Amino acid sequence: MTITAVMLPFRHVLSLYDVSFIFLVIVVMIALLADRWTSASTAVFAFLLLNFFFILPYHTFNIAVLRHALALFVFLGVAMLTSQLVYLLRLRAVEALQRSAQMEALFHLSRTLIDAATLDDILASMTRQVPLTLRFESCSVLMPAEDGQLLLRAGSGAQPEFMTRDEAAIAAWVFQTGEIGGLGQQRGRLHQRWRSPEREATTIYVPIGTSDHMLGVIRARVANGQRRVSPEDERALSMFANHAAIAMERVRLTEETTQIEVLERSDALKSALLAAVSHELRTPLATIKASVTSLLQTEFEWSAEDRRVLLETIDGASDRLNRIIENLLDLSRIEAGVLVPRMDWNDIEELIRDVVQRSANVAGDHPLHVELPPDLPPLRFDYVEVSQVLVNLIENAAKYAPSGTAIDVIARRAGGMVEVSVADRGPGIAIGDEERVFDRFYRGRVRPGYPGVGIGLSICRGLIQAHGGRIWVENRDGGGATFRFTLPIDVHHPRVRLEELAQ
Amino acid sequence: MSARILIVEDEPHMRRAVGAGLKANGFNVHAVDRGEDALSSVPVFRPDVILLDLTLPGIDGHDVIRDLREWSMTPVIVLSAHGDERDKVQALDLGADDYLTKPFGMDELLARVRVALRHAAQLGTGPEPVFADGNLSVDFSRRVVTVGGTEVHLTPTEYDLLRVLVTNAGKVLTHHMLLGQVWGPASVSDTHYLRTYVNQLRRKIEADPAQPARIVTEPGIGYRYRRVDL
Repeated sequence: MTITAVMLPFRHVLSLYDVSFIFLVIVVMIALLADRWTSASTAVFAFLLLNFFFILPYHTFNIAVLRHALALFVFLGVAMLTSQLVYLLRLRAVEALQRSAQMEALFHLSRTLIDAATLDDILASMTRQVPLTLRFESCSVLMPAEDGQLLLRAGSGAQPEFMTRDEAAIAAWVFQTGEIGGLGQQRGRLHQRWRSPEREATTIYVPIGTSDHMLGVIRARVANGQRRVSPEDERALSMFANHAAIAMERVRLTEETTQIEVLERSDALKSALLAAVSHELRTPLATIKASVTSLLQTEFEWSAEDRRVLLETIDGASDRLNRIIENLLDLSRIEAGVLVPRMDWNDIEELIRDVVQRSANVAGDHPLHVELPPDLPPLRFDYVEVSQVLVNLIENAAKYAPSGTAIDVIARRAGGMVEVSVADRGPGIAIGDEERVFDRFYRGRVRPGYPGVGIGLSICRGLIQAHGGRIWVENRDGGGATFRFTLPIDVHHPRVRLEELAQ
Repeated sequence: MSARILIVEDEPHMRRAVGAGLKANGFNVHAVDRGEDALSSVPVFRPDVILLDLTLPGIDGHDVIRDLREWSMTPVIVLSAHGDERDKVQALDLGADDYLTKPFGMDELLARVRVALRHAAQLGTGPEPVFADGNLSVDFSRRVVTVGGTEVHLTPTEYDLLRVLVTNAGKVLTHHMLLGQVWGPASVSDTHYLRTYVNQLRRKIEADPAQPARIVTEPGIGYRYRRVDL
């Protein structure tokens, strides 16, 4: 209207066509800004204005000249057409932008899903991206629990604490049929829409998965009173759901593959172990069998001395068998990952003295020399397991140390740890093998005929590591090897306040 | 008159070997292979010591102890396979006196049997007012402890701990039992208290606290007072 007023005085100067074009521009601008009905009515209004004010005779709706009438109606046609076209163009542009935004979002989602290593990562990405890019208020994912019931697995945005019965029902239906469902509100009441959500739906449920393998349901809700769920939302969410389904499958398959690999490795280990074990166990058994059958011979009398020697041999071989079996049990527990030390406060000096006392025959003809500092703090460890480590180390040292040489067992405090070392005067460890000695079945320094499958040290490592300590070996000045292991000192170790003397 | 020993062991070779070994040492031996038979033969055979394998067909070794202790204080030595300490602790808490881990040597078994017999004899005569072992003497009525003739000053808790240990001389006492009897049932998981007080006690009454001869640690299980003069 303003434009009309502005141009009125100039009507004698401007031609009809100029005015028409100006009006056209206005109509187009309206079309750009408003909806189609507004722009259409603007076109009509402009037509009327033109007719009334700018076409002779002025101030009437009559048209004097035929050419003018033609121009006017052409104007109307062009205005209507243009406005509708512009409107549609704008609409399409908006849609294209939206679609490209969705593509962008989908692209981002794919990127994060590719990296997602666990199911939780996938769900977190999804529930974060959907509200962000698709303008939902909240998004959550429902997945079936053990009993088949759909439970909330992940969510973001404003979440209600639990699902209503209606929501649970529609989620279950979506999960079962693989179709999209929606929940709307009409006049304040929740109102189900089993088919694709009409424009009244405020919450949309999209299935994740294929018809024969359903994985879950995405639930997205629009903010209260904001808008309704649209077909674009439906499409976008479906795409998201498909991507998610693929990612979930991938994660599941990766897990399965890893499990299979673990099983294969453990099978291979078991075979190797069985082979090695048969040999290791048979050796002392052979000794026992030989000695016993000798003694059973009735053809002659054994001297008391010889008899004693054979019997002691049998005794020693039985002890060795017992140790091998104990080691094997530990190894199998370590491998199965079920080794859980029974930690308790213990005195390491007590353990060392105890083990040294019991190891007299394990050490053979190697005197055991012990050095213990006073007042080592109590440590948390599994007494039986750490004893085993020490016995294994002493046995190992005895195997390689030359006859008569001493084996030193020394404990000391080192920083936040207590370190125990077992040192021998044997050949030492080949340079570069310091780590490998702790591998299973490693027998670096072995000379033919030496017993041992090489699991003792790997068991020591397993047991010490389960305690949070370290175990390693160093070559010794003057020859030989020193095996050291540490156990952590807990600064909160109990300090008991002792009573005053009563007397 | 030779002492009577009841062997409860389901593995026949073991039963035979142990039985033979004990008989050779002058004991009167009866062997059964099931828990139910053990319970029924105790009132008849009236053993002085029972050797009980924990893993039995039929009723479990633990159930045998539980049942037995309702009406008999006969010392029980459990024989258990190497491994879980918990089985042994449970057996001791239920009333067993001592344990042996398989494989064990015959000499060890005989030593434990002798300790158990001594304990059984004491049960028969009733508690003595004074406990004497080597140079250690504990006068319960006056609450006085002497080592080599010199009185040793103990705090009330240390005394209680020593008292429980010596009145059960030879018997393995679990952490749980010791804590319960000295500190009360509420403290049954504070093993560090126990350890600290045991160390204190050793410092006061042992000839060499670093190599305790009397108060012996049973690793993972508890403590035992071992007589130096048998």
